[in-house]
This record gives sequence, C-alpha cells and structure tokens, in this order.
Amino acid sequence: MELKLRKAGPIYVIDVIGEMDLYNAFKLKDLVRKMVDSNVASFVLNLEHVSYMDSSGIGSLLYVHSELKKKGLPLRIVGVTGSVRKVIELTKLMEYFPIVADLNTALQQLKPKT
Amino acid sequence: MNLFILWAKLFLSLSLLILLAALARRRMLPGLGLLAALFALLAVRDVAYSVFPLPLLIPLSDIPVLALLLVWSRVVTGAWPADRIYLGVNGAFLAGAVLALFFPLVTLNPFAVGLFLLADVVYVAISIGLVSQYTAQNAALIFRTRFILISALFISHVITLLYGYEGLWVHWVVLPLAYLAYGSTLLAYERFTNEEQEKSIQFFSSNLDSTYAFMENLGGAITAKIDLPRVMEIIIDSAVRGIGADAGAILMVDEYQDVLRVRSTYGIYPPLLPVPDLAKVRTSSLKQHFRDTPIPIGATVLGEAVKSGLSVMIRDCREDPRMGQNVKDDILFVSSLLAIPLVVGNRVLGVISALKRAENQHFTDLDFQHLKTFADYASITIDNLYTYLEVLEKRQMEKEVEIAAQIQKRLLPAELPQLSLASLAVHSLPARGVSGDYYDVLPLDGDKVALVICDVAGKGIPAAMVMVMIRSIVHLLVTPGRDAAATLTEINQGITGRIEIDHFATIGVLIYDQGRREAQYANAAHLPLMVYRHRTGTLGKLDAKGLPIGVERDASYELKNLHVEPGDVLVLCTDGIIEAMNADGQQYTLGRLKAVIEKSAAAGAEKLVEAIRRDVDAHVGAARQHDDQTLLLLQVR
Repeated sequence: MELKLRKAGPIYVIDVIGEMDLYNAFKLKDLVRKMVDSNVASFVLNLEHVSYMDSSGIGSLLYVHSELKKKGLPLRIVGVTGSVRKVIELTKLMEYFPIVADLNTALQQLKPKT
Repeated sequence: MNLFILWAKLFLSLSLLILLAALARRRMLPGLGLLAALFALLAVRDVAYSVFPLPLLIPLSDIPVLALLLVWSRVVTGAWPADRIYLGVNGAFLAGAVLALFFPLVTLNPFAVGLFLLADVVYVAISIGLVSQYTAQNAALIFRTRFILISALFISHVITLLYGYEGLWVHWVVLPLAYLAYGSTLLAYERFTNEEQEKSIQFFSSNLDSTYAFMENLGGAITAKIDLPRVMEIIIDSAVRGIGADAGAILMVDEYQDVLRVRSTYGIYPPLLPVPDLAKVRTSSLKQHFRDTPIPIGATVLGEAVKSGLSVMIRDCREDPRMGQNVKDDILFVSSLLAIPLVVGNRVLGVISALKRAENQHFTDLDFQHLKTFADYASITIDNLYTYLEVLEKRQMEKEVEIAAQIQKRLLPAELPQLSLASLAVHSLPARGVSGDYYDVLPLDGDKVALVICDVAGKGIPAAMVMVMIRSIVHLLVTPGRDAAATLTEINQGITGRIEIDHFATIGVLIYDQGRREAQYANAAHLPLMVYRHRTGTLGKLDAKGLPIGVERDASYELKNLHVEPGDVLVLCTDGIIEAMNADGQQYTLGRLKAVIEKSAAAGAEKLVEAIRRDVDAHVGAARQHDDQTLLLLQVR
C-alpha cells in the first residue's frame, strides 16, 4: 500500500493506493495521527485506487473516522466502488462512514465558509 | 638569407613535433592536435620564407599561429571562447593583406602590420591570462605555461616591431625564443600527465580507505539491532571526513509527501531556504531550524538534485544565483557546495550534501568524484537496510499471529453439546495458521441453546485479546431471560471504548428453543442466518440490522424471530465460506450450498457439514484459501 498526500487549500487529500490489509493498515493510522499532531484540520480519504481491502482495512477506516470525530475534525471518504464498496456494505458501515460521491463534492462540503 | 638558419629553425620545429608525438602516444590529452598543427605551421612557414623571403610572410603567418594558440587554450580549459572574435577580426585582416599582396593597390606598411599583430598578442595574452583557476578544467596546464608563453610572444613581437624581420640576429635570437616557449609548454604537458596519474592513484586508494572505514563503522551499527539514525550519522560523518568538508547533511525523501526531511547533519549546515531572524541568533537554534524544516522537492539546490537525479557542484557559491541567501557574510555563509542524489535503480531515496564554509575554500573535481562514489555505496546500503527492516517487521507480525493462534485455539469449545431435539455440527479452518473467527455454543436452561459466531478484524495478539473479551462477556450475558438483540446490545456496550476501534467485530447470535421450535436471530453486521426449509426445499436468508461491535457505544440491534419445522437446517457461517474463491476468481454460491444441503440433509448434521466442506474444497481447487472458514450448523429433529 502506498499513501500520497495532496493539498487543496486547507484540505488534505490522502490517496490510498494498493492493498489495505493486515500488513499495512497501520500505515494509514500512523499518517493520520501525525497529520493531526501537525494541526491538519480537514481530511479527504480517496479509496479510488484501493485494489483490495480486508477487515483490517475497514478497521483502519474506523480508527481514522473515530479519531477525527473525537477531535471534531471533518472527514469525507470518496472513491468507494467495486470490491471496497462490497466489503463496507458487508459490514453495514455504508451509512456510518461519511462517504460522498466524488472528490469535488467532498472539497465543496469541506470548503471553509467565507 | 642564411640557409643554416633555416635548417636550424626547421630542426627546432620538427623536434617539437617529435616530442609531441611521443607525448601523444603515452596518453590522450586535450589540445595536443592543435599544438601539432601549430608546429607544422611553423615548419611550413620557415620553408616558405626561404623560397619567398617576403618581409610580411612572418607577421601574417603569425596570425594563424596565434589563432591556434587561442583555440588550444579554449579546448584545454573549456573557458570562454575568446577565439571567435579573434578569428573574425583577423580573418578579415588576413584576407585584406593577401589581396594587397597580389593586387598591390595598397602597400602594406610593415610597421602597421606589426602594430596590429602586437594588438593580437595582447588580446591573446589577456584571454589566456584570464583563465580562472576555479572555473576551468585542466587549469594547471595553462597556469604553468602562460607566463613563459605570453612573455616570449610579447618580447619577440615588440623586438620585430622595432627592428623589422630582415635582421639576421632577429632570426637567430628572437624568433627561436617563441619556439622555446612552445617547448616549455610541451614539458608542462609531460609533468601534468604524470601528476594526473599520481592523483588518480591517490584518489582511488583514499577512496578505498574511506569506503573500508565506512563499512567497518556500519558493521558496528547493524550487528545487534538496526539503528537507522545511527547509520545515517555514520554515513554523513564518513562522507564529510572523506573530503575534508566543514559541514554535511543527509536528507531523505518523505514517505508520503513530496518533501525532503533532514535525517542527520555534521557540523553546522545552514538552511538554504529563508530563515526567520530569530533562528539566526544562535547556532543551536539554526541547527534546529534546519533539522525541523522540510525542503520541497525541486526547491533549493538540494531539492533540484533530488528532482533531476543529477549531482550538483557549486565551486564558488558567490558565482551561483541559487545560493544568493548563503553568500552574505553572516551565520549562513557557504563558500562551496556539493549535493549528490542517493539513487537506486530509478528511485531517488534522498540527497547527501557537503559544504565548505571558510572563505576561499572550494571543493575540487576530485572531491566531487569522491563524494559521488561514496554516495553510490551509501544509497545501496540504505536501500538494503530499508528492505531488511520491512522484512523484519513482517516477520515479527507473523510471529505474533502464531502466538495469538495458540491463545485462540483454547477459546473454542472442545466439543459441542448434545441436544435432545436438534443436532449440531461445526467446521472451522483458519487461513494461514490463525483465525479471526470465533464460535461458541452455550446450552441455556430448559430447552434453549445459544449459537454465537464472530469475526474479529485484524489478527495477532490484539485481535485475540478482543476475542477473549467477547468470549467472557458472551458467557456472562447469554442467559435464559435475555433475547439475542439485548445480548448484542450489552456486548457492544461492554466492549466499545475498551478495545481499539480497528479491532471491531461482527457477531451473529442465534437462540434456539427446542421445545417450541422457535429461533431468534440478532446480527452485528455479520452474515445473515441461512435457513433451509425441508418441506419446500428452499434456502433463504434472514438478516437483522445492526452495526459491528466496538464502533458505536449506543448502537441498537434488531431482533428477528422465526418458526422452524423438523428437518429444517439453520446455518451460521463466516465470509470464508461464501466468499471462497476458485482459481478463476469465482465465489462459492448460495445455490451450490442449497444443492449440497438438499442432497445430504438426510444423513444428519455431522455428515452434512462434512459434505459442505468437501464441496467448498472442490470449488476452491488449488486456489489459496484467503480467509478463515467457519460453518456452524443446527438441524431440527
């Protein structure tokens, strides 16, 4: 799994690329922890390029979601399709996660009000 | 014209040519061909002068001689091409002079020609004199020869200007002066060659020494436990010492962002990006600022080296606009800089950089080569360590997973209870030695029995601990008075917040009342209960709403009831059964499950489970099992 960071104004987009499984799910948690420590305030998680996700992958999503919720930081998840969508549906978490249709919608929703 | 003088000069220029040929055989040197052309030109001129003793022949032929000298100095040093201007002006002059010889419309005044030539000599002298020790290659060659060369040319031209070319003594004494200067140039070549060889021998042996020393130090740092920061320290120390630099730094490309992060420094490496005044007050705060400030890839000389993958040498930072911030006389001053990207294959891992900070101290080409060689070793070493650490981490994780498997085996019931009005059977197979699956069967008071199936996310000890907690709570909570949904609600309240959220669990709870043939099912995001109706021969799903355990403390769970008949089969299973894939990526289907149950239901629960297991195996074939399989089955009698 590879994680890439992009910046859209004050919003950080994390692109997850490859497999999200037992052996690397911790990477996403570590990254988000570090980002929260360095005062990043707005997150988008892009799962478009995730090729495989197991329950540990879901676990890391749950972790990120709850950690940000605790801190009151907004999160959107995009690119939920194919096998990733199936796994999330199986665990009945589609409604629980802040999933939106695409990156633009996410950025629009997170845009700071002027 | 004395023939003897001609022979003497011819002899001189021919011996210069022979000396040159001997030199050229020993080693390829820049500009030797031009010198050969120059000597040949001198020989031809002398022969021509003995046949046509025209007074202007010598000064005019001096024009191409000087041109060859200029071109030679440019080829040797790679410096500014002063020869273009010279060739343009003199080419025009020479053409005019030749025209004037054949069509004597204008008579050429020998004194004027002499003056023009003197101007040429001055121009050549200045452009050779300007060759800088810092910017030119092989500058030493020009440095050693230019004094004799320029003075000989100057003296001979001034004398011929004053006394003309006809005097015998001019031919005897003055003209050969220039030949001697050429001879000394050739001797300088000879010495230069020897020194270069000596230097390269020294370079390779000192390179070898410092590489050995580096390997030795590195061995110490990685025997017991790999200490990456210590390795980085050793790398930068060895690099800086190897070339006598004042400061050095090693920066690595960040895993997630397009920035460089400082990993280790030696001496005081001042930031190349703008620094707030506050950080400039003390060297310790400056050091801290440099260590803590990531450099975007592409920014500063370091970022450029990483972006392009090309090594950078800035001999004198004052001459490079990119170093503008670091050439003022303050705490940030840098005199000379080297930056070598750490490259493995086509990946750039980072950059290693060394500085000279004292005024007028500059790195040489040899230092540059030395650091490049060193950086090659360093990048291979770092890459190997990274790979090794990754493998180690994975190995540790696998070991943990094994321990967890031991714990978990003891959690499962040793044998299933015997029921009076129903029969039970189970099949459980972990993928790769350890399972995230847990199942349990708990007889309750009266005719009731509770069947629990659970799948904990993640593996290893944390997942096993969650399983232990769930098992304890299940054993405590599953009581006759509590329905399946209430049981789940309480399990969830007991667990949420006490476990890491990424070890959430999905649980299905089935409570069966044998006497009434009533079943109730509640589900925390596990697979639905599968119900086979003996009478109609259909297989249906019964699902109930609910979030996984461990996600939301106040999640609620739906309760579903159903009535069953003798011969009906209730199946609880984990993803591993329904998602079991064969080599073509096809999943095991409900339809297939139904067919097996239909065929083997009469044989009893044990045989039925065995039949399903064999059918799933047949479907998977040689494909690797990628998820745990658990199947818990109840057949109504």
